[in-house]
Amino acid sequence: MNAITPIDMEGVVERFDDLGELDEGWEALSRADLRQEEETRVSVVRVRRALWVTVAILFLLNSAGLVQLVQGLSIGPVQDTVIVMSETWNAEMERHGVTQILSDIRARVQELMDRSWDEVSREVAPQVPELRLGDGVDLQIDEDRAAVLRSTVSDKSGS
Amino acid sequence: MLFPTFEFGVFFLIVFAVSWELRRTADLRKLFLLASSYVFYGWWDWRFVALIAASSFANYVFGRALGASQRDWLRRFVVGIAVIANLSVLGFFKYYGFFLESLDEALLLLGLERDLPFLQVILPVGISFFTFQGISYVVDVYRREVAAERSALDVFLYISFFPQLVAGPIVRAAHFLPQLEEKPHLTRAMVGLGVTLILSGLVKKMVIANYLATELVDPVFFDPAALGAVDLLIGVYGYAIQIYCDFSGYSDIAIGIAALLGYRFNANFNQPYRSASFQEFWRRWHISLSTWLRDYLYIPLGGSRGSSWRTYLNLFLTMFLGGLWHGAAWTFVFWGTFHGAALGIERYVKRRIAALAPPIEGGAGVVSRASDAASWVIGVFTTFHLVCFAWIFFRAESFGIAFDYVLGFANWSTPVQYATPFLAFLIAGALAFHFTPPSLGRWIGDGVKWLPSPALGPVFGAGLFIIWAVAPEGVAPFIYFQF
Repeated sequence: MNAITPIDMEGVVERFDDLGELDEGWEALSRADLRQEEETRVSVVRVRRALWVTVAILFLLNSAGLVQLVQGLSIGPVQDTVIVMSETWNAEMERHGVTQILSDIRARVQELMDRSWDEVSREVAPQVPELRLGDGVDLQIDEDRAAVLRSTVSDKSGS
Repeated sequence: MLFPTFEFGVFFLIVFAVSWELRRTADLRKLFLLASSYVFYGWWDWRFVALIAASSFANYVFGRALGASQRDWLRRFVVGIAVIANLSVLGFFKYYGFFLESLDEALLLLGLERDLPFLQVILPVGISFFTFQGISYVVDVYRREVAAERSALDVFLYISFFPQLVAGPIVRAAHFLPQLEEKPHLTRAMVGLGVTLILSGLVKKMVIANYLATELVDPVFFDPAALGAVDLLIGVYGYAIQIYCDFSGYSDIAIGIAALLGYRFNANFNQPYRSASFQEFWRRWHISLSTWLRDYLYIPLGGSRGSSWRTYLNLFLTMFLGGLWHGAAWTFVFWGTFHGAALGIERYVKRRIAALAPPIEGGAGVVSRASDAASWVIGVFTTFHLVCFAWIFFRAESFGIAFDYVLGFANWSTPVQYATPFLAFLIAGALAFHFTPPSLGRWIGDGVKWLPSPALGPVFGAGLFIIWAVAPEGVAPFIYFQF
């Protein structure tokens, strides 16, 4: 009795289809191989372009980092030229305000780091209209409201 | 060479461009990738390139010997020698000092003080990882799961491939060697996955792990006796997140880089802190190590095939040795032992509960579901806190510091110093990520995959710039480099 073995046919059918359609030439490649090669070529070009754009963005927005980096180079005519070019580039970026983006982000992060629990709770807590003595509001009412806010007594006013 | 540095950026640009140019000449491409891997490794210390080359050569020879021999006893002998040779190298570099120090202390305690041959041994970066890969190769050849590789180049590249060389994931020979036989191929999906993983890995490492390390964990673990319970609690939560983001961040970048070079690695982490048991935790944490320990240690020890007590012993021994693998210190041994004991106790309790109250067939009622949900919540909460407790010993420099840390939880009077809203937000955010859909990364990867080509560069560049801007200045090494 012949046993029927399940075979994962994904890709296999494609290969069989291609058998009759081999490209003629110096190398006989199936259409699937050609498609794979084309996909690889396109993807490589895509990533290479993306990496160069990334380098350009980092040069543009992080010119201070570039200066910091080249200052670590050893002394020599080429290195000196690279340092001067990097500093000039950074000065240009500063003049056009591009370096400000990095400073702004870092300042914002520092502000978040410095924030205390009190500041956060003040921002998160619901805004309660400020009640002042002498505005016709009884002191007892003020104390009751504070107690309600502290949750030490339950709110019976129905509001 | 560290991933998030300018040097690595330049290195990767060159490797990516040249390796894909060489894709039509497979051997030349592999040779180039091998040379690049040695440059990457030699950036730390050129002397150890000879060590990794020697390790690769020895494992290639052992593999060939196993492939050539048909007699069982000879194959057992060869694989035994191969495993001993690999472990001896690891043992010398990693445990020589630890062993002598422990022996010295024991002799001193017994009043038998001796002059022992102490040496200043430098630990080569990533030795634990490439040794385990070497063992994986020879054992897989012995088990006939892979054929003995005829090409020395393939074995050398398998052991030295730079994305996973210094801190994993531990790649299996049976998974990687067949990829070297195939024609290199880069798809849109691999590009999407690679870019997503590199960016997510950098966020985890450079932003979350580095802030938690410098602003919270390092100061808290420096002198825990001076701090109160709130700081200590947030300190250990912070370390749990730091080590996860540090290590899974490295793994993400490694998998992403390999994907961009046309190779597939398996995932190494899968939201570990959503685990409701220790068993589940080890299925989600450092998956390449836990499966390695299971396949090359737990199963050869007998696994769960013997008596119950034998299974508990095997579990315990596996985790004990897993702890020792992490570092040559008794605190790591305690960490491994704790996990081994917890796995054993958990197994015992589950079996007792199943025996006393067997699950009801078709019990899908509201009460049953509510009870399942409640037990899941309790399981996640308990597992996370027990894992955190073990992290204290993993992170502490010594048992003294670890005990100070644990005792400090009784001190609720000291004012809070380090628990700031910013750090609490980082911890809460990273913990919340564990409860997002498991396919979230793949969905984002799919989104990146379909980005039009002109948009990919700006997205990747802006992503890198924002990470760079938000992260604390300076480059901190990855925690797992020391292992």
